[in-house]
Amino acid sequence: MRCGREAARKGMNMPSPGSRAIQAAWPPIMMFLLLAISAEMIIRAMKVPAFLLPAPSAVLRTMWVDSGELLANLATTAWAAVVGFGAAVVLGILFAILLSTSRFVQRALYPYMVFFQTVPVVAIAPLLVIWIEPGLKSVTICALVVAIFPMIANTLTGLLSADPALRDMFTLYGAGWWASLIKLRLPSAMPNIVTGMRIAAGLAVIGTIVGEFVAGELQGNAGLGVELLVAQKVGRTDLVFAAILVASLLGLSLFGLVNLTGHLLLRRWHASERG
Amino acid sequence: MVLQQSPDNSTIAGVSLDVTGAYRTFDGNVKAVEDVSFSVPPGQFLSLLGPSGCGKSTLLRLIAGLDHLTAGSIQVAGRPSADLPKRSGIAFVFQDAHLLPWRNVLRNVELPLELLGIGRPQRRELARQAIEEVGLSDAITRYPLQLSGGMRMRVSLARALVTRPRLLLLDEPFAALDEMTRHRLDEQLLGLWQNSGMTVVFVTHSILEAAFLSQRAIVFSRRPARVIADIPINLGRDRAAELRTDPRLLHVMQEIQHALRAGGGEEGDEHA
Repeated sequence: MRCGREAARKGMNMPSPGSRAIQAAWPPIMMFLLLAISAEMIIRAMKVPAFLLPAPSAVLRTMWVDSGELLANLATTAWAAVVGFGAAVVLGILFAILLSTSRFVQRALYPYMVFFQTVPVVAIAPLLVIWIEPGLKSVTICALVVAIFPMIANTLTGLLSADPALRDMFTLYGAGWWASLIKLRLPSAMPNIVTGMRIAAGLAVIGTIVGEFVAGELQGNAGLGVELLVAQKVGRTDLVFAAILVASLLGLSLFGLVNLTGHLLLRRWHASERG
Repeated sequence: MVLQQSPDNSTIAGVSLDVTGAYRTFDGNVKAVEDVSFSVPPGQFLSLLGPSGCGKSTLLRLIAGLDHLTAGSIQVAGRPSADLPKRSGIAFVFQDAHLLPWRNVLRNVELPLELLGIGRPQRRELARQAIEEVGLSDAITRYPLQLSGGMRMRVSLARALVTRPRLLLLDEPFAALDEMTRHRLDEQLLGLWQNSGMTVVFVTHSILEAAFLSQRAIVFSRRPARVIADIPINLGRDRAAELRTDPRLLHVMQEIQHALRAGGGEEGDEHA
């Protein structure tokens, strides 16, 4: 049985990663086009005013006409989101390692992390404005605050669920704390870390936009969140939509990047990245 | 100490094992091992049999120094197993292969040497040798996910043997494999033992496996594990597959069967 299956798998022409990505991407893209075209037709047919709901073609035109401004704001937002995400990944893993060192530390700190998680970032942002100043730094910290919890929680789960038999084996050969962390517990946690990163990537973008609403500077190219707010105030609903679209493309790209990283890290050994 | 060996395996002597009045009671007064005593001379192949969950695995962990005795003593080469040094020369094979899925075969087999601080060129060399001994040289760069169950278990065996252990502990290592594969691996293990002179303690559910492989079988009662019978198996050292159909083997199997029945081990032993 097994031999047959192995042979079949070997004999099959595995699609290249590129063509697989295209295969995965085209159904949602088709869906998007279908929705956009339907929306266009309905909005035109019903003569919906543009300040209420601009047609997709109008949004597209705005994206082209205002592309300079949108891109500049995107750069600000992307910087905050990526740095906030990166900090959440690094600090989240370090914090999870700290928590994994002892039951006591875990019991002492975990409730506060859950508390941190449940306090909405909009409530924390004004404090950041008081303590730091409105602007990129505050916004980045907002992204970090929102994104760090799933990193900690997932990494911790992974660190604590390393195979007990392997832990025994490491003990048998006299492996110290550091060796078992590097060679056993962190690699075991890798699938969980990737899961945490997937969640954190989306949250970092959300955290950045919300952070910009509350703690963003109101001048210059202060980010898509700020642009969105300003566009709303002046009745540029088309620009609001354009900013939303650009922000979600940022989220998607970050998510895609994380998925790619996860795939490269896990493809050889983890069932989630195979077949 | 262990690793200062000559390339010729046969010069590595096994160690003696002395279990004296061993008790292990877990929290909540769960007795796993009760007053167990036996001595294993260097180089012996010993099987431990008993009903499922009787405490054999606990005993094996105690021997490896992975768990602490409630009372009594376990000595490996005359030293208490609980405070054996890092390079104690003990290796452990678990019920399943338990490989590191993110490492290929070579790097899995290298791992014990890496943890013991052996330099890369030497450990690569030793790992290659151990992999060759279990017949997996062709699969050296493959990952556990790409191997069959039997191959994975052979990697696990190579990983245990790579340090040239003087005491090899196996906890129902081939229980999850199909019968054909299991027989092949039994024969392979037998060959490895014959060539090495190491002491082997083999926990199994299979009466046939115990009789075929070992020079001696100790039968335990239901939990808590107590020694019911200590059966010598005088079938010589050089054994081959044909022995499985030898009437003398059948006789040994009957003897073990009787002992297990006397210990009330049969109900707990369905998947033997």
